[in-house]
Amino acid sequence: MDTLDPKSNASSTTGELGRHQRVLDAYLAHSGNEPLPPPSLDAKLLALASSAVKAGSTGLTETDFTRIEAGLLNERLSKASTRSRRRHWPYALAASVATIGFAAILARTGLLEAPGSSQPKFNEPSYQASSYEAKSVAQEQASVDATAAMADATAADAQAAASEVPVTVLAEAMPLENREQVAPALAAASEDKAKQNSVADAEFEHSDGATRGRIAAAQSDAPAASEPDFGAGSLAATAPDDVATTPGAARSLEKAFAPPAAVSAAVPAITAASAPMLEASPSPTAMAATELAELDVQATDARNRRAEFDAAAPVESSQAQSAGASADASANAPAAPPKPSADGGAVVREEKPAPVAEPTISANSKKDEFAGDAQPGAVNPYAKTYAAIRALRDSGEILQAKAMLARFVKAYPAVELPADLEVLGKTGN
Amino acid sequence: MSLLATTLHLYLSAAAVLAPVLTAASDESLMQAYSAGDTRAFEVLYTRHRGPFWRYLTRLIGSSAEGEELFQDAWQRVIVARESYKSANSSAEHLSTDNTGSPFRAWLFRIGHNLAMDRLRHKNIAPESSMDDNVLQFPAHSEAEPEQQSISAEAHQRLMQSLAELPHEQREVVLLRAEGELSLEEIGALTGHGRETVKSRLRYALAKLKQSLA
Repeated sequence: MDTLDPKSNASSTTGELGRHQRVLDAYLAHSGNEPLPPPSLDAKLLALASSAVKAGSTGLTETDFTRIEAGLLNERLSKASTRSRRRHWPYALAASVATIGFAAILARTGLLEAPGSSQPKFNEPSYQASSYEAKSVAQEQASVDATAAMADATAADAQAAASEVPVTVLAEAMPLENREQVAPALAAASEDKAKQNSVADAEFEHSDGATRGRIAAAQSDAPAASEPDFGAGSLAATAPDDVATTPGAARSLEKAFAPPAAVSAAVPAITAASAPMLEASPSPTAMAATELAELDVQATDARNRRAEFDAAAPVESSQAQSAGASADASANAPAAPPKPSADGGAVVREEKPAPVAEPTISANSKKDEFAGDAQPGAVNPYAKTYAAIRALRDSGEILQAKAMLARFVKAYPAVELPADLEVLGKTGN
Repeated sequence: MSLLATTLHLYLSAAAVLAPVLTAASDESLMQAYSAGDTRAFEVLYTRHRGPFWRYLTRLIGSSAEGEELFQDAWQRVIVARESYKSANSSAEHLSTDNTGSPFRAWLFRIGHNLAMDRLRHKNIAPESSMDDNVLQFPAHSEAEPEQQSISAEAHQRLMQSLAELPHEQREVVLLRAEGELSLEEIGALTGHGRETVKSRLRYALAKLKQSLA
């Protein structure tokens, strides 16, 4: 038996552990057999144990057992929440006070109305129960009407745009001499539009009061459209500045500025008058094809001239040598064929006009690179270039040698290359 | 709540009276009977261990609320593991070296110890060095004199405060010894320390408690 047995009183008087045993006895005496778990927890655990047995020996997945476990868990969560609330009640109180204070400030400043303050008062002259309801219904009906009016105005606007835009565009695109042909039709259209404006103004005055009056006054200040104005701001110039935003006014404005029927009628005439003009002008695709064909002819001609020139005189012009690569004109000029002098002496060259330029600029630039290489009178006038290419090839710079050879071939396509350079150009060796 | 407590108390008392055989039975036989489907065996077992186990958990953690959760979790594990208790029984028997202790009691307190350690490890906090009022509160006895009650309450509070100020290892050893009535070997096997370590801790702890009660 252990000497520290808490239930043993016999060993409590012997030795150090015996003295400590008295402490344990005191502990037991002071703590006693209490406290105990709460009775609700006892009941739940006993119910859980009973349900587990009822659920069978195969497991604890039956519904009642799960429900009891869930109940226990919910209770624990609820208790945890309660503890949290108790722990954080000062913060909750401060938040509530702040909310109430903020609401009071809003109420005093009028931003937040107190409950019931929005109700009409009996002593207010504007209060009448029946009229209040009727006003609400009328406002709702007016809103629906306004929506419908806006939809109608949008449709009318679309229709007007469909009939007006071609007239304006065609008229603006038309030359002045052709405008004279359609001027009578447009003048008739303007008169019809003025009539329509006056009718719209009358309707406008009749249907609405002050707002329509302001718009009518503004429209009366606008200049009469006696002459056709094809400027982009012609309609904007006649628009009043203080256009009312009510749906009725907007609708009247749409009517007032809608294209007259005469304009729509003038569209075929304008179209017929402008048709020959439109047909006469070539299409961009045809123009581009023509230009391309011309360029092809020029390029072919230049190539032919170059081939003839190279075949006749493989020696570069001395002028080109002296001019160097700096002068494009002389560089572009192909070398003139040498003419033997009458005394059989030195070769003299005949000045020839500059041939047609090469079709590409890059070819000229490549040609400049080899302009100083030609050796007049030599058996092979491009020996220097060939030597440079061979030097690159022999030093292992195959790519650079091929690039230089390609530039040379591009600059002088008619020159027959030595066999080794032909091989270099074809195989890279 | 009091009606529920009274009803439960009467029920448990009646069960104890009507089943004297079960009341006298050992923990192991009660647990085996419960595994076989006898819910009354569990009631007797629960009534026998609920007080010490409750006090062990609440005073170890220092919070009655968290102690209640641990208490509930531990008993739920007992209920769930009733089928596998036979195999656990054989391994738990070695905790009681002198065969005087109860393997079930050691097993139950081991469950509680593991849950408490998990809770402290999960929260990454040190054990409470103080106890909440529900733990410190001394239960009132109606039959005791008011003066006696006052003295007992004061002593109880000093004892609990001293217990709370003990290092966690020493506090647990005291509680396992006093409430669980476990032997030094059982405590060592439960906490994973040797017998001498447990004995040393217990000595230090009781010395401090003696000073507080002096």
